[in-house]
Amino acid sequence: MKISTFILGASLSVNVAIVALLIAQSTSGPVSLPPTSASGAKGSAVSDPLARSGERSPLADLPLDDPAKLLDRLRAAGFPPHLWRAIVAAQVRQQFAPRRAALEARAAQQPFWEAGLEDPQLRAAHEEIRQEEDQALQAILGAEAKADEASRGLLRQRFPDWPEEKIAAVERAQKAHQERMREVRRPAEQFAAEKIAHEEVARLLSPEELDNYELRTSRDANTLRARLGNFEVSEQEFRTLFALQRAFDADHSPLLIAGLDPEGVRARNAAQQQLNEQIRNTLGDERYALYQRSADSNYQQTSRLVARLELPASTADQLYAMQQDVQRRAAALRADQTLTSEIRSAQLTALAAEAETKATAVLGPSGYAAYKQYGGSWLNAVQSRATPARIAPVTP
Amino acid sequence: MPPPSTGDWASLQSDDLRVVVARLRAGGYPGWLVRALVQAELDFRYGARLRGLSQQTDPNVPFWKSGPVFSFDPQRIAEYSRVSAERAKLERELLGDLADENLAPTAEQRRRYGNLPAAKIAQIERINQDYFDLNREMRAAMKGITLPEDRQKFLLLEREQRADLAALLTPEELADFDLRNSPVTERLRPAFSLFKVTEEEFRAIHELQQPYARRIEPGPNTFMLMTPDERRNFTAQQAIAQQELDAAMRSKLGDARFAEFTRASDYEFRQLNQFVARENLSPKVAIEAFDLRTRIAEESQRIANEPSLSFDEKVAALNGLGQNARAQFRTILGPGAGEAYLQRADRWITSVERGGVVTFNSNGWNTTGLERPNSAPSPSRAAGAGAGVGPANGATGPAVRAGP
Repeated sequence: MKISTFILGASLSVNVAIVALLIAQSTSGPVSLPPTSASGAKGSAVSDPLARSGERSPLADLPLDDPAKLLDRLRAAGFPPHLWRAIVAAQVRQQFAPRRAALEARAAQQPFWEAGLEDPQLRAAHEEIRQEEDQALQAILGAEAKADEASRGLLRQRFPDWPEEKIAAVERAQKAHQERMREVRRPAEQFAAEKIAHEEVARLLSPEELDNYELRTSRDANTLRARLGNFEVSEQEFRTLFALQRAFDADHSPLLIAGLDPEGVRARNAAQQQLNEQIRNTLGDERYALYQRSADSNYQQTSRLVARLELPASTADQLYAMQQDVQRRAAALRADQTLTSEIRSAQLTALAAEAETKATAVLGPSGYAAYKQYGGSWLNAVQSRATPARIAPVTP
Repeated sequence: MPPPSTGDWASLQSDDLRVVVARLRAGGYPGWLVRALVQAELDFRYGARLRGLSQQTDPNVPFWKSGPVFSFDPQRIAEYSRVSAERAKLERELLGDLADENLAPTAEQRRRYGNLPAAKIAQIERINQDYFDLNREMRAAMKGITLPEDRQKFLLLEREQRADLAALLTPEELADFDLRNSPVTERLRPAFSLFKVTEEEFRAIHELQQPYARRIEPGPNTFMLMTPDERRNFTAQQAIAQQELDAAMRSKLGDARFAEFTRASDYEFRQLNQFVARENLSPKVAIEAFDLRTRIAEESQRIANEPSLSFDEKVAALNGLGQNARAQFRTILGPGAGEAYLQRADRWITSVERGGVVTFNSNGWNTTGLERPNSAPSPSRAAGAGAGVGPANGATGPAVRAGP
């Protein structure tokens, strides 16, 4: 391959400056001419072996005023997609630069206590330019107009075996889903949007690829991971739990709860009961109890508090066990019809005091104060129901 | 990076971006192309890493394991800040005179920083970014748990940020910076685009509002650091402070101008103005639509309080009021602005159609159900931009069973 090089030299530097003036588009702000030496960025010297020969630039005569031809030229020159997309998009923006500059000038005239480009008139004008730019870019780049390179990079990292076309197609489906979600106003609409997103991606992937994709990126998988918290599961257990949850959510998603009639609520509750049993069968009784504990929001908050106080993680387990014990004993006291209300109240008060003593012993006084806010709100119920209700005196 | 091809790009590219920039500049390519290429290449090299770091769940952790979420992971946040700063520094070095900080300040920067030189603006923005990053790391280390000592830590951070700005700016520059960026100015700016004031008036309003600033808006960290009791107390005091401020503003502006100011401060009115501006309609159309909204609220209350109507008649009347409202907004605003507004207003209009009584205040909208004969009224549903509203007749059913 013959390596082309740039022509440098004092006599040419003047020509370069003139060419730069002729081909430079107007911009929204003053941009100084690029330096004419090979030193590149301000203040830094760059050694460039190609700068020594006198060959013509490999990209001479770029059609900088015609985005469609520019695209063809950049592709033919072997520019990678992320660069030809960005350069063509920048060229399209250049065409709108005078209009943006006019808006900027109007915004600059506003006093500093007004909202500038957030002014309704200016914002509407800005929005109009943005839509025209998007349309112009769409006309040239088609589906690649809105490509998100960072999302594609993340997909490449997660799924290194996927070909680039698949990466691009899935990223476009993700982008389309994000745009649909901007119009969503109700949970049921979110459910419908997620179903469409799932179907679009399913068309692009094999069943196994789809499974792996959803295990890593879906809302269901994220929810399951959040619920598991510190509870460790094997890969196979996670796959099983995810499949169970996904099957449940297909018909009984939390996003659909608001629209349920009483019969729908009963059906959902029955299905939830069945799901709980399936999870129990997967994990076994003992681990199922730990799973339930991990999913408990009080336990999760307590775990974060314990981490924050830099106490051993087992402290959260200790507090949770104490909570279960106290709540069980409080329920038994309330259910005991043989007790008078005074005795019941006294025993509940003692129970509340016992809980406070035990919690303070492991957390310290300031940690206990924080615990009542984070994970320990159940203490309030024991304490408040220990206080006897005021009974209005009966007037004879 | 894709493997080099045998085309022209192969001659231009290099793993060392400084070489690429040097070749582009030597080739006389315009600044916008150099910027586009450099920024796109940096996005390509850093984008996936930054996106991965900022995912709520860490993509480097096996999918069946849960790590800390991004918001509660100070190590990941610190790494994100470090990588962002590295990318930003490299961009500045590569672009040199083409970097943002070397271009003329934008209108938004002039709004915030006045006539400060571009280099000083860049330093302020770097200071603010550094403290934003530190704030975020401190919040992540809290893991969603606020302890009493946290308040002092954040106050210290605020004082240090202030000291850094004071060291950079002269006293006059600092005073001007404060005026341009104060919480009061930030809060009033959207209204002042629609409610025009002179500089003298602005300064007088700013001075009047300043003593109420902390009572009305506690600041991003202050509210987070409050205990639940302190928050309840603050919210109660906030309402009182707002009433006092409204009275002071009314006294200053007079009734007519105060009414205009209140309208300009309303988020939905500003949205109406945007929809109207988008369709090149007169701003008077936005006022007409906003007045209709007010009349609908008043009419819903009149219906609810009308003693001659039965419960069912009230429900029917409110249903009709809501349906007519949609037609009236379309007539006033036209198809484009009308549909845009009705999408935003759908929830409160639907509440009225279902028999709800709507009121509007500075926080948004609120609906209450009709009072059934011989029963307590349904609880009011506080709403705003995002809260849900159930049926106005307070229908209930069996509770939904929670998961394990």
